Order: sequence, then structure tokens, then C-alpha cells
Amino acid sequence: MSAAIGTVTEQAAIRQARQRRPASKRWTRFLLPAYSWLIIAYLVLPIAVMIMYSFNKVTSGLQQVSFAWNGFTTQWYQQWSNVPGLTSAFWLSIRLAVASTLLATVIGTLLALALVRYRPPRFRGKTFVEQVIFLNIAAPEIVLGASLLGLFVTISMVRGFATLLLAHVAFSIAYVAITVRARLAGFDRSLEEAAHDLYANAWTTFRKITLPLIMPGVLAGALMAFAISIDDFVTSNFVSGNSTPFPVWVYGATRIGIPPQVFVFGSAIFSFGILCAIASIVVSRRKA
Amino acid sequence: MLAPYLLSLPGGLWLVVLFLVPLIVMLSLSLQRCNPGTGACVMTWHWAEFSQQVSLYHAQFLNSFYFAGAATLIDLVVSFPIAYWIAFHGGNKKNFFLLMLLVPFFVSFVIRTIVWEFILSDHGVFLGTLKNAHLLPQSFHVLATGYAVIAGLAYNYLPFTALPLYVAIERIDKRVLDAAYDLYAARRSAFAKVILPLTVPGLFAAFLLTFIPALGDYVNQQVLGGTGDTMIGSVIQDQFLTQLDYAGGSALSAVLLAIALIGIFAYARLLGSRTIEEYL
Amino acid sequence: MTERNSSEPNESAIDPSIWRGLTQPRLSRRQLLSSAGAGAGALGLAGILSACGVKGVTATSGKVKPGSAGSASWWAKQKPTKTVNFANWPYYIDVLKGKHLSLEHLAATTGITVNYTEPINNNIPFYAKIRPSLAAKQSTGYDIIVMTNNSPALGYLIDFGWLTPLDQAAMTNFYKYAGPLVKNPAWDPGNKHTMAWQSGWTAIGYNSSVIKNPGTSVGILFDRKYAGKVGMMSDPQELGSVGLLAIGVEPATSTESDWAKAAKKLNQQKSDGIVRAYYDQDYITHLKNGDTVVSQAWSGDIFQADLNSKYRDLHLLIPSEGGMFWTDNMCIPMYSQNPRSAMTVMDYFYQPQIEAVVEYYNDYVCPVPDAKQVLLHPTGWAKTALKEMYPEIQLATSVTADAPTVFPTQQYVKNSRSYYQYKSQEELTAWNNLFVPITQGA
Repeated sequence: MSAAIGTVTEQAAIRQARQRRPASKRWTRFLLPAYSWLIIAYLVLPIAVMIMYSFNKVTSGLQQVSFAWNGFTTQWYQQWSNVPGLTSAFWLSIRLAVASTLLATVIGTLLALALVRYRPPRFRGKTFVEQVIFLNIAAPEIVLGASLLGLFVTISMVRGFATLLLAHVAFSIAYVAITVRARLAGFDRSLEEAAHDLYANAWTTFRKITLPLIMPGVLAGALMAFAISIDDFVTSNFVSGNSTPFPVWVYGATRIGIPPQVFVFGSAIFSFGILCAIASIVVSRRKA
Repeated sequence: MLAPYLLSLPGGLWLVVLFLVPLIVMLSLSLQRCNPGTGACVMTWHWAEFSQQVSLYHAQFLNSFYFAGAATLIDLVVSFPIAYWIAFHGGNKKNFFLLMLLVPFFVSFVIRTIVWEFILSDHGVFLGTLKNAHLLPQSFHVLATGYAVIAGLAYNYLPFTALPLYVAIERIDKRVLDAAYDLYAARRSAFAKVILPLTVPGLFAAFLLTFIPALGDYVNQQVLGGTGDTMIGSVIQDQFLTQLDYAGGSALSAVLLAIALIGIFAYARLLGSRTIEEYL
Repeated sequence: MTERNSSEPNESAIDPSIWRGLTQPRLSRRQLLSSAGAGAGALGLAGILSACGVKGVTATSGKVKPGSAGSASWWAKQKPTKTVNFANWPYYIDVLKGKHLSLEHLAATTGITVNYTEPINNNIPFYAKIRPSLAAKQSTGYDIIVMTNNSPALGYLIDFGWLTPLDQAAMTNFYKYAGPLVKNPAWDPGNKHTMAWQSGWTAIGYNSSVIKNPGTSVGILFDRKYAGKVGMMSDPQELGSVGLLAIGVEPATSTESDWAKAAKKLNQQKSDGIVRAYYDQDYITHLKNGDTVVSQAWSGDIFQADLNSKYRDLHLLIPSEGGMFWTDNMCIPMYSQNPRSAMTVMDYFYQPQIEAVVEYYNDYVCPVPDAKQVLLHPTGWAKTALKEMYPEIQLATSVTADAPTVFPTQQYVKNSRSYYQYKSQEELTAWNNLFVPITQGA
């Protein structure tokens, strides 16, 4: 009898436990998702406003963004190059971002490879490198910018595109390294060893086996580097000298009034970034 | 044999020359005396520079602490549910949601802040409608107050909090939660007694990774703030670019970095030195 | 802007001994230690830290040596070139749908193409950008730059010999047409280095729909009635000067104790919560959208805002205490690649026909009084250009011609006040130490 009672109570307990689970669906089905979408909407709000106001008409007077809605127009997309200083600032930022991304991705990927594969005592100084990377990411950006300006002033290096590039690569390497390293975590070395067994030398192995496999991670790192380079204001403001990257131009223009073309360029960069991100997701899905 | 060193050579060299060396130069500049007009700086071992600058601008340091701290706390509270949801219930759409969190970064942060200035403007879309409906007094304003600065900081640094939190929560083995339920834990106590304690190191990491960068921010305050809100980043920028006082600016910058390092070392002491790097 | 005695125009106003003291190395601790035979370890860090020094510059005496850049013989050797790089402040030249009619006419009549950019938002940060090139004796990339007389930057450039002395013989239009306010000015006697581009007043802008009776005093900026809605400028020269005006002192003859009193008044204004914020050029945006109802303002901005029907309520008030009168000056940085053509361009703008077109857009104080007649009765090229610009500007040219803020009347000239001229770097530092913390203060 005790066994029967035991079974009954056991089954009741299981039933009770199962009944507890459905209650959680209120949270997981409705509240949490709703909240999360709300937060995402909040994050996207200024961008939506920016895109919307790139189509806003401007009343007579200076061609500046008017924050009252005056009517729909695509003229700013047609006259996108009407503000010469802005257009050259935009292209400068693009050139800078491309150059910085290329350099930072290569250097950062190599660094990530080193960090993932080797440990002390084989890799002496690994801890030091990791700490430097961490410090680079965690330090306030104004310290990075100010110290770089101090360096350039001390060695009397004229500030311009070169200093911008040096600075951008400097702060991008760490981000690329950690992004690629995170993606490399599950990398299977046995494939490389198999290639080695088949008499492939190190370079061929890297080119034909390793690189294709880590490519999604490398692309993610490149995307990260591109985004932070094109977005960067604080460091660029310190080391740009005579040249004017896009965010620095926009910040200067806020002092007087931004032309609508700023929103046009902002929307363009945004769309490009979204496309790249979607592409990278699609690519990684296919590879998986 | 040399592989790890060769692989890390370009990156290591770049970081040493363009990150560590500038920090040493910054320390050196702090001890010099600079002339704004000529740009000449002479080494005078002026150790008093640090205390002088801090006493001149201690109020701005406090402002920075207050604003960055408030924004970080808000971010922590706001990000935790979304990080939890993506980690536990994101399924195979996790990457997509994480991407949505990063989407703001594709637009220049200056533009984002300017648009916030518009959204929060005294008679703009948001406040204007409320004022017209007489729900708010006409003289009410958010801009040019500390609240606008905190709101701007919280917005701009949200991904800095959400992503480390996500990493932390994602690491938790879901089976631990199942075990708790099996032991008749109610939802609330399962969360409070199992999940939350496991995320504590992640919470601290997210706090540091948001607070420290926000400490040095100044754009939010300059666009959205008023008088009396000045943050230390604004002073440093002004000294380097307008006053041309490289020594003073470097000294303040060095103090800011020292504060950041103290925070990181405190974390390392309390929770183990390697863990914070895992949250990047 | 540095003070000059008319009897000794070449004497540097900033005492050379001050520069010497500041720029020559002192005995560093490293040298002391090494002579005392201290340990190598201590030398290591000390050596690294003290090795980072920044080379500076010593002031020149201002005299132009024969044969050096800027002397008559040097100018005789300069050949005209096809391009001139002109750096200016934003919205400071006539613009019509992205074109500059005055520059197009220049290209048509002289063959010189002007590469016109607007990188200057602030005097000292721009000076900081070009200083490294100048210190390294390299071209800054600019042939003409525009610096304000109330900023230390212009003083530094002149004192360190970083501006090419102008070719007086080539300044024919200037000497024929320049107005009294800009000829032989206090900050550059004999126009050795500068020719004015535009001038203006820093006075008070207010919203007349909110403030019906502004009165005539600068005290309106300190009025508690408008607490939280007053805009002030963040530039320490502008802020300090208005503080001096508010305590009834003429800035040009003020003393350091006056400055302290002015700073006290400004601090009081801030702690009373009267100021909404300290602005750069963006004060005008906040006046326009109602964040502030009264603000320190530049005369041309208010005029331009007035043109727009939405902002017709914005008016300029030059108080009885005076409005600060500043001048933006064209000058040629040293090591410029195209000095001869730069002179041509600078002198070109002193033709009344050209200035009329520029002024029609700018609405600041015109350095060429004869342009007024051109605006009232346009002829020739100016007539065509003004007609082309009319649809965008929507203003009869006579309005610009009759505006006292563009062509000042005697009354307006009487109400103009000059900025204080610093006699040394110490004075400038003392001034800044009083006023910068107000804007940067927490």
C-alpha cells in the first residue's frame, strides 16, 4: 500500500511540476519578447527619425535640417553632393574606414590565431598581450585620443590622414582580435593536421583549409572594424589635424546647422552596414 | 616554434607603439609645462600638476561619476531582461537579435546624439505634444539638464552593457535551471537563487565595460546638457584643442585612466583576474 | 590683437624674455641625478620620461629682413599661380546652389581658381591644426586664412612671424576702398599682415514676441525674469568682455581687478540659474527654436535669421554699454605655395562690385563702404549676380544697403567697443583662468 501511495504522490508531484512550467509561458511568450522588441525599437528610433528626415523638405533660407516636418522630397538624395566640405569628409571617412579595416582585420586575425592556439609557456607574453587588448577596449576613448595626440605632438608629426589611419588601426585591432577569437573557439585543429599529413605546407594549409573555415569570423571582425572606424568621433577629433572625417565635420556643423545631406549620408552608411550584416548572417548560415 | 610570436608580432607591435607608448608620453607630458602659443613643453618634473588639475576640476570628475554611474545602472536594469531573453529563448535567431542590438552603431554617434536633441527638444514632437495637451507645464524642459545627459549616455552605451550580459547569461548551463525546477523551485526563487548569482561576475563586467568608457564621454553632455553638467571629458578636450594646454590635459587624462585601472584591478581582485576578459 | 606702439611697429608685444624663460630647457632632475651618480635604474624611467619634450618656437622681432619672405624683393620674385587655397569660416561667402558667384567671376577675370573650404569653426583649434606645419617650416596647405582679431591665435601668428607680410604695392583696391574701421587697425597697424574680411558685433539677440520691452541695457542678459532661458557664449574673450560691459567697465582699458569683478558677476549669473547653456556658434539654433529667449549674439546671424519669415521675431540689440566690435581678417600663412595669387584674391574682394554681392549674402559689417551704392543702384556684373541670388535671399538689395548693421552709421560706430589687447602670455592666462572655469565649470 505504501508503494501505491508512493506512486500516486509521485505522479501528483510530477503533474504539479509540469503544471508549473506552462505559467512561465506568460513571461517567455509575451512579456519578455514584447519588452525586448520595445528596447530594440528604442535603439532604432533615432535612426528611423534620421532616415525619415532625410526626406524632409526645407523651408526657404539656409539649407539646414528643419526639425518640423515640411513635406516629402527626394531632392536631398538627388543633390547629395551639394555641400562640398561634407562630400569630401564623407569620402575621407570611407577611404579611412576601408584602409583601416583591411589593416586591422589582417593584423587582428593573426593576433587572434596566436591567442587561440598557443598557451604559455609556448607563448610567453600571451597574458600580457591579452591584458593590453583588454585595456585598449576598456579604457575611455578620450584617453586613447588624447595620448595619441600627445605622441604626435611630441614627435612633431603633422596630423592628417596618416595619423588618422594609425589611430584607427590601433583601436580596431583589439576589437577584431576578440571578435575573431570568439569565433575561433570551436575551431577543429584536426583538419589542419590532416592537411599536414597529406604533405601540405603551412601556407597551403592556411590558404585552403584554415582561412575558408575562419572566414565567417574574419568577416564579422572586419564588419566590426568598419563600423567603429566610420563611427569614430573622439579619437578622430584629436588626431585629424587639417583633414576632416565625416563625424568630425558633422559635429562642427552642429554648431551652425546641419545640411540635410548629412542625413542622406548617414542613411547610406546605415543601409550599407545593414546589408553587410545581413550578408554575413546569410553566409554563416550557409556554411553551418 | 616561432609561430605564436610571428603571428602576434604585427598586432603586438602596433599596440605597443600606438597604445602603450602614447600612454607613457601622456604621463611624461603631464609633468611638463606647456606654453599655449608656442606649443613648447619643457620637462620640469611638475608632479604637482596632478593635484592642481584635480583640485581645479574635481567637480567635473564628480559629474562624470554621477552621470556615467546613473547611465550604467539604467543600462544594467534595462539590458538584463533582453540579454536573458536572447540567451535563453533566442533559439536560432540569436545572431539576428544581437545584430539588432548593434544596429545603432552603424550610424555615427554624433548623428544619433543630434537626433536625440531633436526628439527631446522643448517644443518638439514629444514634449510639444504633451505640452499642447496641457499635461506638462510650458517651461518644462529635458534638454540642458542632467537628465538629458544621462538619457543620452544610457542610449549610446546600451550595447556595451547588453552584450557582456548576454555572454554571461548564455554561459549558464540551462540544465541548472531544470534541476532547480525538479527540486520544486518556484520561478521566482529559481531566478533569484540560481540564475542571478551565476550572472554576478557578468554584471560586474558589464558594469565596468559601460561605466569606464562612459566616464570619458563628453559629446552627450555638450549636445544635450546645460550649465553645471560639464564632464571631465569636456575639460580634457578643451585643454588639448582650445587651451592648447597639453600638460594639463594629459594630467587629467592620466588621472582618468588611473581611475579606470583601479576599477579593473578591483574587479580582478574580487572575482578573479581572467574572468573579465571573457566577457568581451 | 597684440598691442603695438605706433612709434615702434615692429616690436613684439610679448616680451622676448618671457618666451626665453618658457622655451629653454631647465636643469632637469635627470641631469642633477646623473651628476650625482645616481643609479642606472632611476635614470631609466627618468630618462624615458624626460626624453619626451616638445620643441617650441621663439618669437621673432617682427622685422622683415631684406630678402626674407614678405620683403619687397621677395615679393618681386613671386609669380602668379593658377590656384589659391582659401580657408574660411562657414556661411561667410556668397553661395547660390553650391556655387560662389564672386569666385566664379574671379576665375573669369583673372584665371585664378580658388579652392574654397570652410574648416574654421574656432580660432584656436584651427591655429592648433596649422601650427605644427608652421613650426616645421612647411606649407599649411592654405594660402589665405581668416582669423578674428579678438583671439590670441592671430597674436601668436603675428608674433612668431608665421604670417607673410603683405605686398603693400599690390593692395590697390584696399587702399582705395577700405573703410576707416578696417584701415590701419589697432591689432595690425599699417595692415602689414591682414586685410579685413568682414566685421561684426557681438551684442544681444532676443525674441521680440516673448520680450516686448527689452530696454537698452546689457543687464537684460542677467535679468532673473528670463532665468533658464538666457544663452551666453562659451568663448572666454566674448564672455569676459560682456561681463566687463555689465559692470560698466570698458574692456579695452580694463584691469585685472576689473576682470575679477566681472568674473564674479558672471559666476553669480550662473549660480542663479539664469544661463541655460554656454554656446559656440550654435546659440542661434537655440534662439530660433525657443530654448533661449535672449542670448549673446553676432549681428550677422540675427540679420540672416530675420530674413526667414519663421524667425522674424528675432532682433538685435546693441546695448547702451556698447557692442563688442570684432573683425575677421584675411592673412597669408608663411610657406604658402601661392602668395602672389593670394594677394590678387585678397585685393579682388575690395572692389565695391564684388563686396556688394558678398555682403548681400553675409550681412555682416562691410569693409567697403562704397558697396552700399552698388547695392542701391546695381550695375554691370553685380546687377546680374544680385538678381540671380534674389530668389534664394528674398530681400531687396536696398534693405541690405540701408541696414546700419551692415554699413554702420555714426551712432553704431559710437556704440562699438574694442576687445582687450593682452600685453603678455601671463595676462592671457590670467584672463582665461578667470573665465574658462565659468563655461567649463560644474
